[in-house]
Amino acid sequence: MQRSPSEFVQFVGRHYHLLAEMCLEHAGFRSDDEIAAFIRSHVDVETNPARLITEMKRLGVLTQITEDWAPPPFLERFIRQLNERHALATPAVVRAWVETLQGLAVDLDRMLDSFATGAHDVDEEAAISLLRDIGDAIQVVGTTISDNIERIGEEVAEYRATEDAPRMRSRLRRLVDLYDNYLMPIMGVLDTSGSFRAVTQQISTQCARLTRSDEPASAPLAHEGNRLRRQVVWLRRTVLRQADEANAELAPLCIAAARESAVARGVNRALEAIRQQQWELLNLTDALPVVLDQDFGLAGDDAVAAFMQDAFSLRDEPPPRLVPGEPDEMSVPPTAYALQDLLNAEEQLDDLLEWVMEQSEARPDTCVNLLHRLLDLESERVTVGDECREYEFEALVVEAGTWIWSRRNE
Amino acid sequence: MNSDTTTTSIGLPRRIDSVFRALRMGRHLCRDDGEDYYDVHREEERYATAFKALGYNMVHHAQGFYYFTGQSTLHSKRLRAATLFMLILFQELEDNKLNEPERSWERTLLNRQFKVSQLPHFSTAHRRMLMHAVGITRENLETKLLRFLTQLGVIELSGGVMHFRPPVYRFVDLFLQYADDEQWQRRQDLAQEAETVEGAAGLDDGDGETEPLDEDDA
Repeated sequence: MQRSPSEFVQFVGRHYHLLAEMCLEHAGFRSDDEIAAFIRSHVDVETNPARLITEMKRLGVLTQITEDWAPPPFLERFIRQLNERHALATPAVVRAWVETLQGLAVDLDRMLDSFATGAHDVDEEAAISLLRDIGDAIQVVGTTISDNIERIGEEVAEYRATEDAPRMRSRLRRLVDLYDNYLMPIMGVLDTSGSFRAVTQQISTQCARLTRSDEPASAPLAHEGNRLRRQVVWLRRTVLRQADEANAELAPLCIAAARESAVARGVNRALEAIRQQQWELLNLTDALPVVLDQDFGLAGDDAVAAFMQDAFSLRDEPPPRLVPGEPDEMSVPPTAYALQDLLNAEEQLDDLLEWVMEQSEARPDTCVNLLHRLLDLESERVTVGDECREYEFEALVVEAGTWIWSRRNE
Repeated sequence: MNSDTTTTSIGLPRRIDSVFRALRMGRHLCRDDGEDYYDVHREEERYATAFKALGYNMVHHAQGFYYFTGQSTLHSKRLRAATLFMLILFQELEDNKLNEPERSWERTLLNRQFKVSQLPHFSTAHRRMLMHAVGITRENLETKLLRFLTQLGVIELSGGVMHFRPPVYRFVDLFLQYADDEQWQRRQDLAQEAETVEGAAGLDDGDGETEPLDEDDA
């Protein structure tokens, strides 16, 4: 029988997900019934498995190797490689790019130091090239993260649109995997204390130095530095926003799925123990204590003993009187948005945390939380200061780096 | 001595008598219990102190309910039956969650209503067998088990329809505890071995699975 390559490719395109599952699972089938069962668990209920099987055999999408029917090896290879091409960049890849950026930032630091020491033998072309390399690397990191996040968003949308229960279950598993193995590690890289945030902040500060009047660089270099700084700030803000959105969309789904799947695991374990008449494994008396005193007395013997012991220890004098007076007022710390409004009245703050402490007079965790929120809300106006200092609270001294807020950074 | 006078003179919380009676009967007090719950909620520390002196520990669960731990703990077939009832129901909810619009069962656990006649506990031979082993049949389900769960405050039953109250989360917690138990498999193997040894020696622990429910409480 003559087989048509174009029909083959069209069939693969139409049934890509089914074939990808077959190839990735290295599925082999002894009978049409086995093939039909596999098809039913992976495609819509309306699909007729018998017709699909006939087509697959006719086109050579399924071939008989020894006794089993399976996709031909070349198709398996093709699909595996295609999958790898379109796979999400792993967090390791993102981290590797961030490390590359860190290396470039060190080079930039060296270059700036040579400006500061007045060395005039700086190769301007090499410096501009370094800034462009940094720009490219940042672009790659940003695009990689954006692509990942966009793909995750698509997967969430597909999951929400899926109506067939078996496919939904496999998509939900995929979402949980994306959340645990892609989104969470990337959120760790992007977090305020993460490496991406730190290195982009460092580069932004370095670029600001290039344009400062006390460390003069040539006009083209200053221009390039300015452009890179804007790019860094814009990209960081965009990537952070996208990651937050993806997290907001995926987290509730995955957290609920993970928790319910844990409950289901516990349920299955317990039911299996009961089936095997191993009730003692459930340890209900200790694990699910329920008090049920049916014969009403005042209390059990132990309770009476405990009560009497307490009673004998009481002193024969009245309890101390409470001092009358007005109740204290409770101070409510301001919100981050309220502080952001107050910032409008300022031009520059050399120590943002100190300012937050003055505004809120709250406990250290509240102040630090407010600082953290402000860093997010005002990311384009804050820079890291050089010094590290101690902040004194009522019962605690917090050591932290300083953050500078300036309207001019906008 | 007049009990009302005593209550006033040592400054016990206002509703301590009805709260104590309920908690001592295994009741889990939640918002649906109205003034009893709200009074405990307002004066939690005073209630807890008073109960502590009587040998009971009042637990405040994060899902917003109170219950007793302490002496006279229930260890009975009824507790087994209640646990099995929840296990089967949760298994059913998990199996069917993807056919529902929310695609999740825990978030909607307290809003669900179950017709008693359509509960899944007798829908397969295996489930029927498990339920019978703890003395529950379709006929005595309501009188023996659902009323007990109502008494505990875990469910609300009305007109052949039941729904969960927040204390159902004690069972959710319990099953999560089983899931997180890293020693589970090892303990299961040990129990299996012990059973094999006992079987070989012709021993019987006398824990017959079809004992009537009424005989073994508390």
